[in-house]
Formats: sequence, structure tokens, C-alpha cells
Amino acid sequence: MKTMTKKERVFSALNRQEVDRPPVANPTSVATVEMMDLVDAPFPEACRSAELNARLAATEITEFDFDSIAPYFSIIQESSAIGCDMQWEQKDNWPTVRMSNPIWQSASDVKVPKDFLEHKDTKVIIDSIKILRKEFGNDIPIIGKTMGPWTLAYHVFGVEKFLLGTIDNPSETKLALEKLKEFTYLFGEAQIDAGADILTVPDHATGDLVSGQYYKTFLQELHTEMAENFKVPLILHICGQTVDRMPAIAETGMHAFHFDSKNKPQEAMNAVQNKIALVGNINNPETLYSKTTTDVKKEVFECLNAGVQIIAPECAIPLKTKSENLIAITEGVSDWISEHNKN
Amino acid sequence: MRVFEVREQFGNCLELVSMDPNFHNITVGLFIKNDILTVWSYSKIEGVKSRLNTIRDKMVELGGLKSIDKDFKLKVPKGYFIERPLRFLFTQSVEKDPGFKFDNGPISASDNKTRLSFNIRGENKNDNYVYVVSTTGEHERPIIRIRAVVGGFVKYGECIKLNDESFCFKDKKQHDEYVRILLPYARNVSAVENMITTSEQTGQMNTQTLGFSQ
Repeated sequence: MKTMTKKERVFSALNRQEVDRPPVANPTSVATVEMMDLVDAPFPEACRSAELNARLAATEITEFDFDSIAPYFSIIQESSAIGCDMQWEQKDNWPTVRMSNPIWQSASDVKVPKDFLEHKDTKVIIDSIKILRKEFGNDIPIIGKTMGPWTLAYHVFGVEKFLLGTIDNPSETKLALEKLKEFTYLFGEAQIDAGADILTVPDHATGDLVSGQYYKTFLQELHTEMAENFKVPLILHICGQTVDRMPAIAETGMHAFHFDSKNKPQEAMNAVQNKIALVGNINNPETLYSKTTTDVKKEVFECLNAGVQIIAPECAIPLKTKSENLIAITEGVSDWISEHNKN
Repeated sequence: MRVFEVREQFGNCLELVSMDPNFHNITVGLFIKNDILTVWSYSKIEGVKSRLNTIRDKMVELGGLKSIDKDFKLKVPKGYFIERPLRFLFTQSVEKDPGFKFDNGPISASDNKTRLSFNIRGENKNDNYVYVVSTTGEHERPIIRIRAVVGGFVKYGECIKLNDESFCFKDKKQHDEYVRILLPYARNVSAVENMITTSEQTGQMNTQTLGFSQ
């Protein structure tokens, strides 16, 4: 098979078609403290300056030879632009929203600020995508990211209040999600206009908090609608145990699901029945963070043996991940191909 | 240097300190290839070379390692490659004030759970260098605390417990420098474990750290 460009490879994998080799592409983030030093783009500044953001994101290609670039590192850019109470942290930690101090109480409060896309913390991603598109041309896929309404609801209402509302007043919850999805569309479309080829939609209806039935009740329809309306492939990301909702996710029409290591690759593949591509699921907190390159490669093999289409860490990688373990992901794919060809 | 060059030249990363409090919060790594250690940072801030050599020199001073005539590099003498103490040594060499020195006298430290002080004395017994833990001060059953300290050395120094009061290193040799480094950790394993867990959680993105689960 002829050698594909990175973009051809990732798009073929997203469409569950043949590839010259399985791509390595993290739809969430590959930022590390070492790379922040290498390109002089530390957190939190790299989340707030387009130039620094693009510089740090580019290391995914220039240093680790992954098959894509994903410049939105965290999950808080929209929430900052909306006006949430932010904790920007420092170089070695993720910026977060202070959800104990929510800004809205009900669906009627949900309003898109006039300057939402001009706000520094949304504009940084849009401008970074433009820089990366110019620098890398059209052969490298750029993966944008736009938060789903469920995640935004945690940020603006607070986790506990929002989840209690799903029991006390489900129709109010649905109304809130319906209104919040406007942010998902606005920011996603702005990133596509800037040059994003693919969008990740993190929407944390995680198994740690809600059942698979919740996904069907509150989110499946919204996600199906997104898959129809966005003009680029979508990758849904949900952390934690999700195998119980994977069959529903597979029916949304999204191109791929980025899954957590709490789900075994084979059970995940069985659950989605080849109706959606899977991206994942190298364990972050133990394997990538503290184990050896041999352990990383073992997990790569497990994913590839199960038929996972795109190999990736399960989520945004720990900021203190050692570089050798990231290189080991790509090497693991090469080793698997060599072994596969031998047999 | 690029990532692949660092890996090729310096080997694998043993330990990473994400923010050096003594030099512009740069990230510093300890790499190992064969028996050569390299202290390295990707930072290009002015003065970084000098800072890395200072860390290297501190590791030699505190850990009994051997400096070699190349920037950032040091050699692990035979028997000195014991991973956990080496990692603690590196972290201390980066994070402690550059002027920090160990006392050269007897190895001792106060217990932070009781009013006892721990004393560690080593002696050669039949080609085995044995470290014996004792206490000074008042406590109803000091052996409980002594046993805990020996357990700490087994956990963090990969040592062998000989009895409730004594231990030796795996190579049965003298490693006073490592004993000095490890004693503050060995005397309070639960607090150290909490510290390590907190450190490991920093920079992780998951449902817990995002605040999405309890």
C-alpha cells in the first residue's frame, strides 16, 4: 500500500477504512513540562497566547511524530470566556474552573456573551489553529476541540447542582443542555473556519457519575444532531467507564469515540460493533506516567490486536509524562506492524 | 537538543522534577545510560548549564557518586545503582537550597510522631554491612517506631530486613549517604506516601482532578 500522508491516514482510520499503518493521534492533548521548556511555552501562558499555544502543540509532530496536532490542551477555554471563576494554576498543573463557585443557577441564565469568540481565551485556540495551518500546510490534520453541553453544564452550574437537577427537573436539564450546545457549535465552527480538520467533543457523562441510560436520555440526540450539522468528523471524548453507553454512542453518527483505559480495548470494540471508530486507550496515570516503554508498547499491542483504529493516550497526557514513553507509542505501532508482517 | 537525541545520548529518564524552585521553575530530568547519569533540562534560559552542573555537583556531594569530566554527567559506582534512593537524591539536589549540606556526624533524625530521636549505626559483620536503628528519648515502646523505620528502609531503599532493628542493602555494602538521604522518608512512610500521591496527581487530567467525580 502506498505511504499515506498523516491526514490521509487519520481520515481513513476515522472512516474505518484501510490504512498504511495505524495512526497515533491524541484528540485531547500532548503537552508536557519538558516540551514547555523546549519551546519556551509554559502553562498557563501556553493556554492564553496563540503563539505559545501553537509552539507547544507543534511538538506533537516535531518531537513525537504523531499523526495530528491538537492545540486545545485543557477543557476550560470556553468556560473562561463565558465568565466562570478560573484557577489558572502554574506550569505543572491544569487550569480548572472553580465549580464550587458557579455563575449560573438555571437554564434561563444561559446566554452567549456578545464577545464570546473575541474573548482572549477562545481566540487563542482559533488563532493558534490558523498559525499551525500556515506552518504545517494541509497534510497534517489539526484536531480542534469544543466542549459539549454536559461538560459546560458542570462548569457553569456546578457538578452537584447540575446532577441533582437531572433527577429533580429533567426537562429543565434538557433545556439547559439545549441552550448550552450553542457554545459547542459557535466555538467548533470558528475552529473549522480557522482550519481545523476534525473536532473533539468532550462531554463528560462519565460512568463514574451517571448511568448509560443518562447518556441516552440527555445526550444521544444532541450528539446525533452535532454529527449531522458539523462539516468535519467528530471525535466524542468521555472519561471513565463508558462501555455501557458505547452502543448508543456508536449510533450517533460521530466518526470516533475516544475511550478510557477503564474499558478493555476488546470489550469496547465488541460494544461498538464497527459502527464508530475507536481512539485510545493507553493508560495515563500509571502506564504513561510511571511505567516503562515496554509497558507502553504492551498496551499499544493490546489495542491494535483488538482492532482499535487510532492509537492514543486515553485522555490529555499527564504534564509530567516522560518523553520516552510518548515515543514508545509510535515505536509500539511500528513493532506491531513488523510482528504482524512476519506472521 | 531534540527529544530523540536526548534519548539516544542520555538514555531513559529515571526521575523528572517539573519545577526547579531554585532556577526559573525549569523542568530537570535525571537520565541514565549504562552507568552514566546525566542531569538535563530542555530549557535554554541563560545560566541553565551552570545550574545543571550545580545539581550534578550536589548529587556527588550528598550521594557519594562520582563526577566525570563532562558537563552534567556523573557516574554510579558499582553497587550504588539503587533506583529509589537515587531518585530521592536527585529530587533533593534540585529542590533543596543550593547551600544545603548534611551533617557529617552520626546519622540521626528526630521522630515526627513521638519525642524520640532515631540513631543509625553501621558495622561490618561477616562481610555484610549491617545498619542498626536505635532511639534516644522517652517512649513506652520504642521498638514499634524502630520497626517502622526499618520498614521504611525496606520500602524506599530496597533494603533487606535482618530483624526488627536492623537492615542491610542488597549488595551488603556500606551506603551511608543513602541512609542519610532515606532516613527522613523512612521515619514516616504514610506521610511520604501521601506526598508522593499528591505529587503524582498534579498534572493528571481525569474525572477526579477535574472535579467530575468524588
